[in-house]
Amino acid sequence: MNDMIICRCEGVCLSEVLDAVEDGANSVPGIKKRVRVGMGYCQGRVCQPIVRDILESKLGNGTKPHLQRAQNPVRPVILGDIVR
Amino acid sequence: MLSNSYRLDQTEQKTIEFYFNHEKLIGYDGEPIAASLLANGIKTIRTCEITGENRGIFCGIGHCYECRAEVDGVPNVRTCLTPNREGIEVFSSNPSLNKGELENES
Amino acid sequence: MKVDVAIIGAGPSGLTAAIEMIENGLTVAVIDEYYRPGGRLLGQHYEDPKAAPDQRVWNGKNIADQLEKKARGLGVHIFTNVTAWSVSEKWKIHLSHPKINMIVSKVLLLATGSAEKALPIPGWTLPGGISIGAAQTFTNLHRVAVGEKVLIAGIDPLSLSVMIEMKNAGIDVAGMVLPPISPASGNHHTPVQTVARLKDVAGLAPNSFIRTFGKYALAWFPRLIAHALRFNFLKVNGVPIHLRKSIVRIEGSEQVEAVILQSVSADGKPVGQAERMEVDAVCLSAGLYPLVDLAETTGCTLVDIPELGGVIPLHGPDMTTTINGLFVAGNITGIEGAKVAIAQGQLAAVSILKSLGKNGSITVQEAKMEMEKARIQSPLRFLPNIDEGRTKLNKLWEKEGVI
Repeated sequence: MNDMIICRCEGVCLSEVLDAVEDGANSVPGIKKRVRVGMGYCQGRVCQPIVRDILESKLGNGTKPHLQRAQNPVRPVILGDIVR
Repeated sequence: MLSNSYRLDQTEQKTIEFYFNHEKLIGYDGEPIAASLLANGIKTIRTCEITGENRGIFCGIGHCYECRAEVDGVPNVRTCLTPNREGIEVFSSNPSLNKGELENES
Repeated sequence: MKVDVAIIGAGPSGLTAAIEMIENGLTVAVIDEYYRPGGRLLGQHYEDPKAAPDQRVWNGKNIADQLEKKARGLGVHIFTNVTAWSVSEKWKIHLSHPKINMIVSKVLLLATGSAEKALPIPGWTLPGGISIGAAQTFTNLHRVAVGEKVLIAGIDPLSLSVMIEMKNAGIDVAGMVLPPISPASGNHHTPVQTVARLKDVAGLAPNSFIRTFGKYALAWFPRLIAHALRFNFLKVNGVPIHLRKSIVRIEGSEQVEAVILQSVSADGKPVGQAERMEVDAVCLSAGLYPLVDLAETTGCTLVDIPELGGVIPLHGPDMTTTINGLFVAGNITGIEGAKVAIAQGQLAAVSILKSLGKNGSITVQEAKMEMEKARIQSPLRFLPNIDEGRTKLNKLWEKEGVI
């Protein structure tokens, strides 16, 4: 279970995410900074709901952790698209 | 070991020839490349750059980018939403899947 | 390119809004990444026993085609296979298009719909592991079977309707099982909780069920499912729904080859042996959530309302947001399905027309009533507490949102 992939884009597994929480991360951006979840092609579209669920179950008490906020560009673009 | 993915029906759509890692395949004109691949029983489209594991279609609508491949020279194209056309050349970025590259190495 | 209104998303809400606005004198452009318009309508094909006899078959692709044809015929500019990768100022929409790299508009309507929540299971990244939405799209739209023998993990209204669609297409669906009981998949998937949610699928009981048990049995469907808890599984369309089995992991070296299943008690504790089942595809279902990435970049206020599916743009009853000239419609406002999305598209359009000094074909009040009607008529309830969610939203809007 611990080597189950959580972030498909960056290959981050559950044990790394749990370690990040142990290390003090209490928000999705906090976990992202430590282990790179949400930094790949999908920008958290796939993994953020999972990371959020893990955080909420670890933090307990109905705590709502801060979530990753999308930034421009919201999809990967080639330089040509931006430069033109 | 069973493994198959296949077309549910034969329709009147126009068929085309395209290439996946140098292999010639038949698809329908205008359907997403990922659909043509799956119809040919091909589930593995690329390998994960970090873990090396096989990857294929996941979300099917362009959100996850798992289905990405090089299409006619353009890298990281989402095959689940890119229409297939006659003569298209699709390549996995990982040489171990891309049979042509391996041949060149020897 | 300059238009009055730019719409991102060519699904049911976006296309409906476009039609309403162009019919009443605005210039409209619709942008969608997919290779054809229609959004999630494209994969939908089921029978709605709540509808009138001549409207019983819901063929999403046909509806999408009709909407597209009407929109194009009226002069709506529809861009497909084009990504709106950024929006800025009011409003510059940046596109990945070979010739038109930007659209400028007075008003922006975000109709970006929803994305799927992933269901992580050990081995889920193996080729053959796909989301339930992908299974629906490949079965109904592309007409390709995703596997020789398919297992569905996650028992909910959507996965149940896709199972029925796959079975009707002749695919060997080995069964439906519960998700893994683990911290990564949330803690509300025990048999008892699953059954409680299944009552929302009563509106979509398969036709075969009605034929077998008569249409009065429709009222018994929820109770039948509850009883099924005692008998370990229920069969629908010949497919076993294992309400007391949970998936543990997916196995395979190059791709999906088998799954390991574990029997569980009614409150989700493992009991008895694990078993191995050979399958070559697993469809994962864990629900939908609003796709707000572009919305987040506009600076509009967003709120987290779990009853509506998650984080959504804070919006008023007429589909306005906390930013002037920014509107929303469809699943981005909360997961309610196509019928509500269509009504919201029209409501947003009428609001936009009003904001630009024009009349719509109906009034804002009439459009709101249409939306309420659509809500009641929806065959599939994705979320059980939508009404509570909407009440929460309206309270927040009254407090924080009115400009």
